[in-house]
Amino acid sequence: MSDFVTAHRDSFAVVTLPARVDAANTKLLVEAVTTSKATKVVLDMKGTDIVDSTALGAIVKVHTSLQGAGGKLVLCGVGDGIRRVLTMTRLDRVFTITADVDAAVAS
Amino acid sequence: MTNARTPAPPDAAAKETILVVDDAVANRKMLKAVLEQAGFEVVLANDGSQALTELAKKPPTLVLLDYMMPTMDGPTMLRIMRKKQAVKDVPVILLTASDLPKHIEDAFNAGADDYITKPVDTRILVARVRSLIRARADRTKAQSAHTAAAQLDALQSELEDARKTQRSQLPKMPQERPGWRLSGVVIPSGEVGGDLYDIIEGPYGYPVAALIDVSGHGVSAGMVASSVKSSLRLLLRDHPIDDAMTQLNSHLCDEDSGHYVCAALIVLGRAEVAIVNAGLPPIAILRGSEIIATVRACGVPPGLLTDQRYSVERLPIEAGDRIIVVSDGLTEPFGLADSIEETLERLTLLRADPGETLGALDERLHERVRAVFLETDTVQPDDATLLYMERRDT
Repeated sequence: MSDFVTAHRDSFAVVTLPARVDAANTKLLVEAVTTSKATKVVLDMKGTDIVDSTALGAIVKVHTSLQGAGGKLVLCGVGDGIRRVLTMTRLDRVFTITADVDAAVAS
Repeated sequence: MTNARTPAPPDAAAKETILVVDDAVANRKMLKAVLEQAGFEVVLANDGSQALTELAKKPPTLVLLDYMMPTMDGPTMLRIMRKKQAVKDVPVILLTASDLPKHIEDAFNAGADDYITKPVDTRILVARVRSLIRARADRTKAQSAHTAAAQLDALQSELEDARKTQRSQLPKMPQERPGWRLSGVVIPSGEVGGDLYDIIEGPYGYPVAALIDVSGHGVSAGMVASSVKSSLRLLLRDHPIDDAMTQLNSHLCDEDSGHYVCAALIVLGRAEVAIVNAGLPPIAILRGSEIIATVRACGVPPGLLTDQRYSVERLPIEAGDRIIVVSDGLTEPFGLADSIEETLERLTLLRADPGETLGALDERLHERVRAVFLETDTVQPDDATLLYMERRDT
């Protein structure tokens, strides 16, 4: 069973990420987004502690792909550790980041 | 002619199959009944020729073969069988009408694993059948284990070769350049890693230090790191470091290898350094034991997003100043993604030691990078790399 749980809120697919997203489960993340068939996607990271470099690359690809399809990717519930990685790599300026799912859906 | 496959019971797939070859109907019937009673599936053939046809259809677990048969006798059929790859190792028990030494010798010379004299004692027959099947299974298991061990050895050997090749691509460290002394440490998390450093002759006569950290790890990341190193060497022949990083981003996005690169390029000038940081933790410039400047990433790691541009940060430099660059393998495991000061404190590299020889410094760096994981009982999840540059009096 996938660790990535998908729900739908308004026109968004909300994918809740597990505690650790890395090379071992990155494919499941991409699958969860793809099978949702949504072009507006929220990645809920409130329970996520670690996103490794492979997963980060995949999230950027998802972002690029959704943007290309006229949609958007929003990250929410981003913890301090992951936020520091996003800042360090300047990806905090690439992604839309909100506090929670409500704010993401309203964005 | 009797050539009947015994109807398969529901769990036939799990049963061992015995091919019984005998020209006498009564013997075939008796052997079939005994072996089925013992839990085996039985296939029957009435001579050597028919037995070969059955063997070609599906290799049995064991063959019970009569010695004397009119069309093709047991030893003849057995010699042919032993030459067929698919069934050459199937155990065979020859049934002989007598215990004449000549017959027994013939049986073994033809390739029999055992023999039983007629009239057959059914308890001994079943015991020998089971014993031979068990021995055969043990042999197969041992062979499989041996093959797996040999494959593992070959894989380890290839990885060791890859590790040596990757190590050989690193410039010899420590080393001295006019006005600079340099050292570097790379500790991959596996045999082969995605981190590299390099010292490249830049376009303006000054050396350019590069640290490359490819996303992911293992062999594929290592291959991308080698490719990035070659690209940078080519680009830095006639491009300034910011252009080189921009071009590298374009190449990587075009290649779409599935990897991206956090990288830094540092021009080691006489009075200033020029730095481009693309996705690595902040680069520290230390004077004495104090961090006097940090250079944070000016753009996203190359290979992630097209049309990125990178900018240069120039900083004046004095004799004794030190520049330290680390990959995130030395920051993230400790929750220090963007904190170079805490990282250097943890590595005990804030302290300056002007009298330290280059050899002693190099040794200390290696020791400290290894120790940081051991001291905190932290499993090294990623390649850990550190590049050290110290400005000397000229």
